[in-house]
Amino acid sequence: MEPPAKHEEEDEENGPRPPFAATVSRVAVAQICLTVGYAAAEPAALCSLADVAARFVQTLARSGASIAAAHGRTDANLLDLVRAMEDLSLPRGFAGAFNPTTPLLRSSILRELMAFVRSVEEIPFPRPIRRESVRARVSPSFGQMGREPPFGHVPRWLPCFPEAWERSRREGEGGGDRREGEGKREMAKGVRLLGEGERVLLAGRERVCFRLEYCGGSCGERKKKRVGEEAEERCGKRR
Amino acid sequence: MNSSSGEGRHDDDSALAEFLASLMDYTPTIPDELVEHYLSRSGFHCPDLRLTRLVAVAAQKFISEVASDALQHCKARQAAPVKDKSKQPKDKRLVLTMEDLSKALREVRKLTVSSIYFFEVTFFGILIYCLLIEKKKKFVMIKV
Repeated sequence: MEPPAKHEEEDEENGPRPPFAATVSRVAVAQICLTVGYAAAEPAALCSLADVAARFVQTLARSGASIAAAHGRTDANLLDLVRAMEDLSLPRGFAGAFNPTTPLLRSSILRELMAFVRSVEEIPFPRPIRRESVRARVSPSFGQMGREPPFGHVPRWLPCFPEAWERSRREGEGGGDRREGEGKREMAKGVRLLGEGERVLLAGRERVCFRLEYCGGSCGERKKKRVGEEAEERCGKRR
Repeated sequence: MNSSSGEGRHDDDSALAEFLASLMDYTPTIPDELVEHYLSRSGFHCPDLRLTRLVAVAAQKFISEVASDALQHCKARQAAPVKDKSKQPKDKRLVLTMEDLSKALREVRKLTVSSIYFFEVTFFGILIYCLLIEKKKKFVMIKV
């Protein structure tokens, strides 16, 4: 099928790119139109037909999922799908629709699909589609790491706490209870190895630490002054 | 009689089982990844690939029917005698236009809407009739 290149260029210049799924469905629908006998297609008509195809699949899926849920199941099966297809085909009509007691596995819709598969040539999608890889970002548990949780109420099967949190806790315990504090900057030199299963920080990364203090009115003024002094210091350093 | 019907059922079941098994070798035009994307978006969860392919085949069949209806409209328009020869299109290629597609989809919509319209008219018609009967009864009681 000859692509309408002129219109595509105009679309790319004017509007945003369509989603990937819409683009793939447009290509699939264009292939179906080619098998039917078309030589070309208007872009608007092709987009509309691709949208109709997507809506058909979604309607079928929603209907099947609701039928499965009505029967107390989370996973849909063949019977749910056949019933959903029958509901969708009911307005257009199909053989055996008058008899609601017809077994679902002997539905005429399935027979029509079988006849369609036998009659139509197999035309697969031209290019393989890359699946979105779902990385398992499960951090190891305390038991897997061979460590004891820091608190008694934390079970060993829970994932390990972040190393930064544990480090800050150790620093806080070593320096005593500090309520007042000031903002400071640290330069993290070199690459840090945080342990098994943890990410490695980038080198030369600037870190900013803040410690919040809670106090009354007079302390609030002192805090504001301190924040202002810090801002002046920063401006002075930059100049 | 019963044995023949039983054999018939057995043949149907085996044909269905063969068809579902053949779906693993058959590659529909609509790719599995696209169908799985829309199925997951709609809440349809099924790990069986054969059902995904069945949905793909059903969608392909639906789009083929709509496209072939639109093709019939296109051929009918091209075959129609044109009075003004200057307006006759030079390009005789079969092009999917919005006009033909809307006619084909209108047939689908007409059948869907007409069934809903019929149901609503009958339902409200029965409701109004019942209300009228109730009112007539009240009038009769007052007169008596």
